[in-house]
Amino acid sequence: MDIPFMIRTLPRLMGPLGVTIAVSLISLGLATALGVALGVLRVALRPHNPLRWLIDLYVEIVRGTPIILLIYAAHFLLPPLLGIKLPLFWEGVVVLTFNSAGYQVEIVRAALESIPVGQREAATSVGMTEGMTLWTILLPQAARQMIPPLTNELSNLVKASSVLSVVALFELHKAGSSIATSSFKFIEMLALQALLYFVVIQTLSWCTQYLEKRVFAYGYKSKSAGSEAWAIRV
Amino acid sequence: MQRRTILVGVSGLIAALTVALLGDGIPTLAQTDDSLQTILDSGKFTYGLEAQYRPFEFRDENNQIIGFDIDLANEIAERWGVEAEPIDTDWATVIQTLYNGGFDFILGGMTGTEARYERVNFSVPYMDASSGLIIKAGSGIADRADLDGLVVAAGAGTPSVQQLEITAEELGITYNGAIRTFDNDAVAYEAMRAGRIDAYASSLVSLNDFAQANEGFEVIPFQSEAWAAEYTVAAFQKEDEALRQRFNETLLEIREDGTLDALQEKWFGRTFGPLPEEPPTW
Repeated sequence: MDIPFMIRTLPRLMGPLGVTIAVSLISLGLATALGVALGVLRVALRPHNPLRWLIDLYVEIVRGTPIILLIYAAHFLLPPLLGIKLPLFWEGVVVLTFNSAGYQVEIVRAALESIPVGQREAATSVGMTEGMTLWTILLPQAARQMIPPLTNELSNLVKASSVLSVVALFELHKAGSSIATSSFKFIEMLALQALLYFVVIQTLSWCTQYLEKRVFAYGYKSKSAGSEAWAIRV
Repeated sequence: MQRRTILVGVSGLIAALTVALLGDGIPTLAQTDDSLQTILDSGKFTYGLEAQYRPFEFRDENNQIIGFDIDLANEIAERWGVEAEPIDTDWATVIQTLYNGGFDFILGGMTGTEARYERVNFSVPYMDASSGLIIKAGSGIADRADLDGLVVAAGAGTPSVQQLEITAEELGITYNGAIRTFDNDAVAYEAMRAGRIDAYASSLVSLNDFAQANEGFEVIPFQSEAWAAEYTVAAFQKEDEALRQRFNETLLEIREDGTLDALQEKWFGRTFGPLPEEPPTW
């Protein structure tokens, strides 16, 4: 492997890396908001509510469609069908959000339904409304459980953004292959891409670990105690 | 009530899908061809290519798209007094993107073929697009007939795929497995280095470009009476005749005054000619 070439080429990948990070982070924010909202709604709705049926349908569509087909659909079907022609970047955001939120609905639903039914009953018995129960009792407990599967989903999202190269969004993978074709350094470009994706996903992973241990930790955090003291599971 | 809303929604969706899917089949109403005027008015044209086809179009050290096609487009733009902007796109879906309004025309090292002619109209040729085969040096492949029993490959959506099919039929040979296709040449070269394919068919000039820069490869011509001579052309939407005609006039000027030869010399190290005066049709 031509290591000097890789070092020399790294600056050329910074712009495209920025595109990958931006498209992933924006989609991640939107998808999490949408996923949590729909997931909560899915749990809150009664069995025969048509909205619940629609959410289920949405989840099945996402689960059953390869992301590359969703990308082609957004690229070639949305403009003639709806008359919307978004810039490539936002087209990517729409597809990644649509795809990821579908998976997140199920993660949120599973986490909420895993909270023992006694918690809900106890809340009802002290006169809390269903909304209050959900917001103050169930969600905080479910949040911590959601984090590991959500981290999986987020890393999937970042990696799925590489498929946007098929509609020529100049993100990390597209830039990597462009440079590979003009320099004939294919293996080197693969290695560089792998390294950069790894760094991005590792960073995200640290962030969610922080959330899991600190923000959504059970118990309380003692100001004086050592770092283990707060991580008491109920 | 609920059910009716869904019913209306669903039938609306089906209607929209039907229009979208049959859209190609519905004859467009006669309308004035403003393809050229729009460009002259806006002072700019865009053209589609995939910047992964050296030396026609590729990215330099600053990720800027450069190459033979870019110089040619700039020359045309200059003569029209407008700006030219290349749009990097996916080659496999380039014609679809042209019709989706992604750019004004395609100028990306496209070979004029019968299959493509069904969707687009071509300009007069600006380059020879003869095919070649790249092989590992010393592999003993000297001719098309030597491909018998070997693993062969070509670029996805390129005429080389059909040429390999025709070759098998014409010479009565069989390849080792199906013809492999790759998204771009670089992946194929790497597959060959790894010993996964024995021969790869693509345009002679781009193969030569690679073989000159990399040791251990050899390029042989890949030609037959069974397929028409191939030329590199620009491609236009069928209805954009005004644009195509003006493009052809300018391109012929560029060919006649020696500018095209100079560009070929610059990017390919030699000139190619003579090229036909008429756009390829079928």
